[in-house]
Amino acid sequence: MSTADSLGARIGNLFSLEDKGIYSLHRLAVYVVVGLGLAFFGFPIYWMVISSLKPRELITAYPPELIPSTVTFANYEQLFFETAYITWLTNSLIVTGGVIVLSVGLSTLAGYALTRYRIPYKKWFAAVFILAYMFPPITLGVPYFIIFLRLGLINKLPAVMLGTTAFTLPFCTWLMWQFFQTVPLSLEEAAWASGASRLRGIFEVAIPSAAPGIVAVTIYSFALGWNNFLFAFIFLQTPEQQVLTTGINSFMQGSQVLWSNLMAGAAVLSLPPIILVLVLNRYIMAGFAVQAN
Amino acid sequence: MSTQNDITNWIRTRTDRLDSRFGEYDLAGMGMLAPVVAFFVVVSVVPILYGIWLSFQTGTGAVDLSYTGVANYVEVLQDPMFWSSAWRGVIFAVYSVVLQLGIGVAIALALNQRIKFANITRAIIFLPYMIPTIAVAAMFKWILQNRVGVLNYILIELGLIAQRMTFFTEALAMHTVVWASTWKWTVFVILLVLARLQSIDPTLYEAARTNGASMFRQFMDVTLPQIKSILLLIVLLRTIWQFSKFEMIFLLTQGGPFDATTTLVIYAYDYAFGDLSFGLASATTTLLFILLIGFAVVYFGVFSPEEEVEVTDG
Repeated sequence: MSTADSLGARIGNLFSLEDKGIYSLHRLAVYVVVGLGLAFFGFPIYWMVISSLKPRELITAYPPELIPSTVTFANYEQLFFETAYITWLTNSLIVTGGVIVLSVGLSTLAGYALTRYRIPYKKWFAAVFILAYMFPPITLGVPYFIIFLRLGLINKLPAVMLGTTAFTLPFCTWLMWQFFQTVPLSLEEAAWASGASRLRGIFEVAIPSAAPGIVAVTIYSFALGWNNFLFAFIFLQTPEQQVLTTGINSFMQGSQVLWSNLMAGAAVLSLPPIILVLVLNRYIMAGFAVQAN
Repeated sequence: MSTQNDITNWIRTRTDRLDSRFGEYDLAGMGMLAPVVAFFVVVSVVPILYGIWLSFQTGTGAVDLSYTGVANYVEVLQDPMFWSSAWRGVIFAVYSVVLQLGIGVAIALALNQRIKFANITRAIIFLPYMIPTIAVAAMFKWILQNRVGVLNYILIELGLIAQRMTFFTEALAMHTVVWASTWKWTVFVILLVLARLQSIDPTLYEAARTNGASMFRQFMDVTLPQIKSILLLIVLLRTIWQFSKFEMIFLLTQGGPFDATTTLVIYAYDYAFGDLSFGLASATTTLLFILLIGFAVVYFGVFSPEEEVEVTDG
């Protein structure tokens, strides 16, 4: 009896040991995947930042210093004071601001309307938005170019703004539609019962409750506006009218690439979206949760 | 008296109805939706129709356009370069979607576990999606630089290669643009799959474990069925988007060397802004769009990923 017991215990031990073995193997696999992921996704960013901080004469040294011995902000100084970077930055801010205002304003109205009112062909709206979401930008780039040429909008920032908003709006509207569905009507009804008008109900109850959605839509339209290269590249033709993306591209042209300017310029360009993601991380996850729901 | 009352009531009900209803629909709601519809018509529908009209015109530049029937389509479809570009577009799309899906699902599964430093790890892995394409292209041009690039240095130090490589040759350029795209867009897969993984009921795994299911069987029997529909939707969206990608390829290689990375989108761009042949370019983009719609329709027919869309459509 006692031998059987101890045998049973031993077998049990053996199993739990084996369990532990599988478990730790599994843990190891998880950390290997995470480690490779961090190296793959993290290293290029690290390298861009480090390169931008190296003195000009050291940046192209070979073998490269993986951890720089000297760090300087000279490249950034040069970028801001000796190139047209500030003009490009201003233009980028104007374009991105316009895209955000248009996208957030229009999509919030439309999202609320689609959720709370009876609208004909609602199903069709969903289908058209998804279709427009998949549309290749180059397909619109060609007709836009000729239309804007005729309207005298070539070389003007609103051309880039309108073109980009055409691509943010379908997804933004769809996202706001999803978000307003998560706001219970009873909240607004309570406001109406205490004498608020429909409009007050919208602005003081519904919109604040859908705030995560508005944040998600703002980030999305920011990203598309800030990122936009194709339309800016096609529509903006004089050096004074460039935005950051097309301006930085000019560092890459020519036989001699200005690596120090290029890396500093790319790092500054990447900073605002990175800060946004870090600060608003939980809203982004909320946005994706609704999207993937 | 009573007649007047009746009339007032009648007017009141009529205006009430007009105020809040248009037939069985709400007028106020349609008013709020109108700006989006108007904007959408002006900046999307009209240009698309104009683009289709352009594809039947000929002439250099934007002036002196004249009707030419289907000549543009005939010319484009008879150009061997159109077909080879379409094929390169398919290779670029399929190759990068497979990579993004493989890496994305593996990382999503790992991030779904309890790990140390989870927050900072997530933040770093999610960063590439927010970095503008031009910065990604600049980064990779620099890292892959053939004389002083750091990747050559690392590969030589690790003993993986003996001599410095050039990553932008005819043979390697396609791999380079695919991996750079994968670096930026895999996060899309990670985010969607991770969101779905976190919504899986943990009791399903407990039940599987009590029945003695191995890690592999748990993945096959519990995880995979739960993420299958989102994976199908991701494959559809990412394939279409990768096939339409312009900036990453244009900025890294301009479609070269020797057209090794000229996809259909680059081919259309070259017609429009290289040759100023807007008619031929429009014919190409119209064909591109028909191709994408065709792919989406067939895909919907075979896999029905709209089940996923309908869930979110609530």
